[in-house]
Amino acid sequence: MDEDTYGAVKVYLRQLGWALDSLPERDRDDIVEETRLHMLARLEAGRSLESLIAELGPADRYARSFIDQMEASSALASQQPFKSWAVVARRAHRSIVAATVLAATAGLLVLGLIGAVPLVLKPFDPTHVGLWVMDSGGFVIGKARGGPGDHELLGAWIYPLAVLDLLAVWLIGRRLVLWAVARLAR
Amino acid sequence: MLRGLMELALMRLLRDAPEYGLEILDRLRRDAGLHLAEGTIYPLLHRLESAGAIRSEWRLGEGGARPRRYYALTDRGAAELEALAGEWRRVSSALTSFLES
Repeated sequence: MDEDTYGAVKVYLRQLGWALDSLPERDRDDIVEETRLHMLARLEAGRSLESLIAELGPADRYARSFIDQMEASSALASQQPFKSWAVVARRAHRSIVAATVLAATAGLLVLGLIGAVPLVLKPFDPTHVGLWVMDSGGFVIGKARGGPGDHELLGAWIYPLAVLDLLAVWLIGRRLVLWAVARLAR
Repeated sequence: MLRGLMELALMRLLRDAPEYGLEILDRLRRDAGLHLAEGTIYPLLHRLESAGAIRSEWRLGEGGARPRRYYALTDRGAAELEALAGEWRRVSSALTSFLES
């Protein structure tokens, strides 16, 4: 192997190491060394550097495939919803599954907030906070002035219902996010 | 689907004996007929290792050969392989019946 080729391999490996910066040092070193040995073996067997690098892809894209796999795998092993959600959010621009689940969890967050608002506000203003049917038509969840013709539907029942809403949002969201990260890990 | 097949074939290959990345890639191409790009095998190996399905160790080459990182199937990996192979047989059988109907 000539010096130019070896120099180009070293440049590729250096770029790979930089792109793997977010991984633990041991993993990074193992990947770079394994890639080095793989490239040298192929080149010594007569493969051209250009075709080898074309197949591996640019160093940053090759590094991304390790980071994606290891992030998803680590989140999946931890079973932590917030860590898993962060992985889903980071992959949303490159994966339909991740984008869909991210949108679904945003919807669940809104539903959770709808449940949380009366739960937080009602103890401070029990007269005006609740699920209101307005005289003008339509519903208000939260605080309303409670004018003539408006009436509140739930009274104290809003507490257990809000708790149920938050619980359902948490359980569905958690399941959804863990399912998505399991899909992304494969 | 190709990812799942690659995972299944890779674990089946490692069931017999530990192998290193380059040899795994060549055997999956040659023996399993999978058309895999050069860069596809190592990210999968690293994921399976962090999931506990395989383990790895660096071994010094004989006669001054370069060291190589060998991968071997763990007990957890063997159980996963059995489950994946069963699922593959079920899907393959159903699809074959469907195609020949």
